Amino acid sequence: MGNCNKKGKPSRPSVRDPINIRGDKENKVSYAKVVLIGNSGVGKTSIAQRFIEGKFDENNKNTVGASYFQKNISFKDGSSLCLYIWDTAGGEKFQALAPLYYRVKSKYIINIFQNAHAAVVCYSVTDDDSLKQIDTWLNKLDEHGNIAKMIKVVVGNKSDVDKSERRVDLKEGKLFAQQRDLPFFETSALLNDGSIDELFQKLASQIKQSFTKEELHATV
Amino acid sequence: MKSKQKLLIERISDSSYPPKPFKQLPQKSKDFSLLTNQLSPKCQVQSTTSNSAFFNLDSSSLLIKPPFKEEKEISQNNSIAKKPQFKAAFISSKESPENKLSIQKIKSIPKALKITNVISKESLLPRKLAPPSGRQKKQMSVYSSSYHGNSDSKYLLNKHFDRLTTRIDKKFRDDKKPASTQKSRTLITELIIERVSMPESYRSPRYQNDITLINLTEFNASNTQGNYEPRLTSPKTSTRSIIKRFSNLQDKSCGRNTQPQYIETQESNNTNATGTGMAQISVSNGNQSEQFDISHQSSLIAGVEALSQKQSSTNSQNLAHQASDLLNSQTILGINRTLSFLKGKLQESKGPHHLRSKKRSQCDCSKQQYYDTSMCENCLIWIQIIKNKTRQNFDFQVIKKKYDQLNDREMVVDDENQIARDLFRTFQDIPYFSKDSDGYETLNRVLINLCKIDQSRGYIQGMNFIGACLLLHSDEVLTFYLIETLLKEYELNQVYGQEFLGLIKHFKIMEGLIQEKMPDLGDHLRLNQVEIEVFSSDWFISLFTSSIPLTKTTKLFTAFFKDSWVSIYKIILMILKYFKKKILQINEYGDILIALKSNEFFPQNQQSFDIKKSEIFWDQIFSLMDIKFGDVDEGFIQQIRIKYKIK
Repeated sequence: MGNCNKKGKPSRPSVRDPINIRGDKENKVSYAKVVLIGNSGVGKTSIAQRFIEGKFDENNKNTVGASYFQKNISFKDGSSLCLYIWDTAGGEKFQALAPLYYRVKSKYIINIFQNAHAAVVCYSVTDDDSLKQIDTWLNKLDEHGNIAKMIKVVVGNKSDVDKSERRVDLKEGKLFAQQRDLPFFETSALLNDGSIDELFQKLASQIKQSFTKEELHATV
Repeated sequence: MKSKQKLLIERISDSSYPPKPFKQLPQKSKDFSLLTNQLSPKCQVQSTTSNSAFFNLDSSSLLIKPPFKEEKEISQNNSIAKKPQFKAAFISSKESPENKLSIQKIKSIPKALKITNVISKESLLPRKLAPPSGRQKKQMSVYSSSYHGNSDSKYLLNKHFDRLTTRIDKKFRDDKKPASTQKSRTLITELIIERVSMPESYRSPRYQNDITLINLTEFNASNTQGNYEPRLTSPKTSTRSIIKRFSNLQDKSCGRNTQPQYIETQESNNTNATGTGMAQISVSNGNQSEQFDISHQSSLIAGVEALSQKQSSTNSQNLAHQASDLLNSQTILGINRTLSFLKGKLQESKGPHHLRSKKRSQCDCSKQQYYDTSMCENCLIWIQIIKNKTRQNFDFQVIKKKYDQLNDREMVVDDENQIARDLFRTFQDIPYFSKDSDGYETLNRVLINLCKIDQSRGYIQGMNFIGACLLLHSDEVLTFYLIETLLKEYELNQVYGQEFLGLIKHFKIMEGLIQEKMPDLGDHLRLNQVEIEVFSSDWFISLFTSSIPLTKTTKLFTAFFKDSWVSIYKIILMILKYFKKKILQINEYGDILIALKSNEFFPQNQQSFDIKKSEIFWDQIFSLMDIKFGDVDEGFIQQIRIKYKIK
């Protein structure tokens, strides 16, 4: 997994003031929180795995709760952005009320969409229902996300399947994203065709454009 | 024979006998061989043949005083066997009048079995006793029919043999001195007598191994008598060495990696140099195991097959003749029946996997399989713990009835699609759970039936892993029972319930526990805004089953059934303790999370993963958690809840 700390950076003793810690890193690394959402079984974990480890695991397990990944992305100008990727469970029950999404703590609610800079909304090209459900996911983002300029991307996964298995055409997906004014990607986690790297590269550069440096330090 | 039966029946019918079976073993244990004889269908015919065997064995001077010490040890170790109540729970409720009668009688069996654990030399000698009276004959027939008709009695009988086999296994493992060979022989001889005088239909498939062992030993016994030309039998060729060679062969032909347990002397595997008759055939089987493609237990069949093949070849006709003589011999009890039984088994089966009975659980965690319920030893322990904890009766038939009713109930289950999606991602690296195999379908049914009993909860992701782990050690009905118990009695329902109130409660308790036990770490986590739920939610939801290596889930469930959620708290505390040093040096939210869910120890989402290293880690966690956090118990949790005001 990518280590977001730059090499040679000494580990500092814990400081009582958390704001101070963040302030220290201002000139070094920027952070962005990305959530992977979408129906169950569309391949969210596979996308994250392909991006982080460059592998595809056929014996994948369904995600319980959420799992966390991080990876550093370097840009041509020498700067870099560390992506905190939250891979969530897509099951119906957690969609409604995941403990990770909600935490009643004194008076305010923290959820997984809180402070998310970007959301990758996935569907599977073999499952037309998962495309229809994207609207539900987008509504959830609007409802629970607290960052107005959150970047949303629509991703059709499993582009490697045969034509006979395909239920959603490339055109159909593109049109769907266009209608909602969102960027669109079709990816394959199975094939090492670079489609997923491209997705995250473009996402990262867009995050960098849309958010100021200060905004890219708010985490979790 | 009749007189012996009388004595036996007197003892069986006397319900108060014996008051303390284990202590009185030496005196009371003489009649088991007779008991089994009576229970066999051809009791009259058999009794004569078995007597001749007894004499043979006796004259071969194999027998010495029975090892009472071992008996005591085993009886102490085998805590489950000590509890006849539990056995009685398995007694079926088949409703034919004959069975009803037999069920009543069966309840006295455990006692009868217990007292006959050791067969002394004297028991093998015929004794003069009065013929049974009419009443006793009637009782005898009832008793006998119970053994024919009722499968539960088979279960009990098999259980007894399990105990005996364990004892022999232990004996061989523990014995390092050649001097004790005699004792081992005695033990084996006991086994021979008991096993051979038991009708084959009562043997569970697991005993195919032992049957071959018996035949071998018997042959060895008769060999020393000089019935067969002892071509190269050296006086040093002990029973054990033959068994050792045998187990080697089995390992070879099974393709298993298990170490032979009976190692003592180095024996060459040369086909023509050592051994005679049976042993020789087996050796040739070892050499030709690829040809026969028999990879399960019945090396005996392999021997016979080898024999038939050898018969056609001109070179080894002598051997074939010898062996067929051996097989036809009357001195070897039940060997023909054994053979036909095994052959039948072989014909039924299509491959090595199918040699396994359907009644066998999928795990390799214990040698013992319980015939009628296909639960392994661990599952038995879980049920026992549940029984003690909830103070509810465990009646397999009742559960089965309930399950069958659920199975028949036609209902629209909302989560069917989700279950199908998740089954496709449940331990796909294990063939049993791969798509279109037995485990896949079974787990599907179990999960759907669980949804049927509570539609509002339905299926929660994570239940699939719990179900799969339990299914490995039991069968469909038991898995359903265990998960249902987890949901109802172990408050898993609250964790899965609306708004996840149970889960939030666990998070808060965990937070308090960390603060109490490791305040520095608690401060550090809070400072870096690492909440408990971000790293532990899947641990709570799937009870670690989706996170730890599958082989370690048995320990986990034993701990969880015993201590409920306290065990999960302890495990999490142990994990935090293990990584504490590392975490305290990290001041980065993401890096802390990654350190906590270290790739090295959590197999999820990992392709190249050192499973052994991970298993060692989890072994450490499970063995140390009661030492390091022994004071964490229900009372302690209650204090935490009061202190931190957790409802």
